Amino acid sequence: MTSTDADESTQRDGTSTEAHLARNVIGPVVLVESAFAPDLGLEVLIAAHHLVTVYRRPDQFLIVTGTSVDEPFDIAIQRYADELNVTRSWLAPDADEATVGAFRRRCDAWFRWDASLAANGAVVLADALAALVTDVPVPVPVPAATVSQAGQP
Amino acid sequence: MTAPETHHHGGPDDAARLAELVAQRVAAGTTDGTYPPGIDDELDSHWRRVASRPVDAPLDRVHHAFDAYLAGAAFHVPAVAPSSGLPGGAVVHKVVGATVTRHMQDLVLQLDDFARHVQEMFAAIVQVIDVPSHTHTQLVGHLESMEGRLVELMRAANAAVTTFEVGGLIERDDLS
Repeated sequence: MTSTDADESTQRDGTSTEAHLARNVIGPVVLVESAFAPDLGLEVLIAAHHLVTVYRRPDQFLIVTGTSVDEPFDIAIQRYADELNVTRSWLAPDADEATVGAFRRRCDAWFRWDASLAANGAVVLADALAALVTDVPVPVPVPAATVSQAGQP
Repeated sequence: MTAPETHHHGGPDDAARLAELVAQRVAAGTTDGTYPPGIDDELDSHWRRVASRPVDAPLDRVHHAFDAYLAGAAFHVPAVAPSSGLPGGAVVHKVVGATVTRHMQDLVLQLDDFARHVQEMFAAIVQVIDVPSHTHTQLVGHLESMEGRLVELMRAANAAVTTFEVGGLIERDDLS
């Protein structure tokens, strides 16, 4: 979905948004509710979703919605998503209640953003996001000792 | 197409589950090789570059202002009712009104002519702003993005050259 599609859909009521999501979004959807403001670390969420779609789940979709506090930040975060080529996302600042209701009905998981999550970095968050909606266990690296000892008595 | 099957999770439950998954991932470490080394830092520095760029003035505001100007750019002489509560007032209104209107119509013609010139000037300015359609900030973003990709390619090329050279040294060593 392009940001143009999203802007157009934001103008519709909740039913149309729901139909739009049903028509265009296939795959697990994560809904994150957060204010659009600097210093909340939302850029880490976008980066994590970028990693999810590139390395884990190409069909995963991310929706972020909440009150817009700072318009330049809205522009910057959308630009960041565009430059990372995060096409499977919908950043919807100041969406109305009907639209948010449609988001909640469609999503497979939703949570309110906690800025402390950003401190872990995008890599950690990416795996957790993927596991949240797919029940895929969080990958655990194989210890080197186990590999080198394989086949030994 | 039917709507995809949905799972109605509760927000707080999912938040707790996510926190738990994050904690598991932190405990597991980040070296399973799925992601390129240093990707966290690269993404962070990319964000800093994006966030530090100035925001272009929204062009749609210019268009809205121009549309509003066009809507109000036509002048006319307002009609004044020749009625009056005073005796003979209606006759005075009619005579004076006709004289004033004649002068005002000339003024309106001048204003319309002036508005047309201003309109042409604004239209030319808006056209210049619109073309090229990419704004300065977007172009800077594209350049930075291309620069980033070039750096990645150069790193990959350097790594390939190093591997080749090391391989060559090993072969030479084996031969000697």
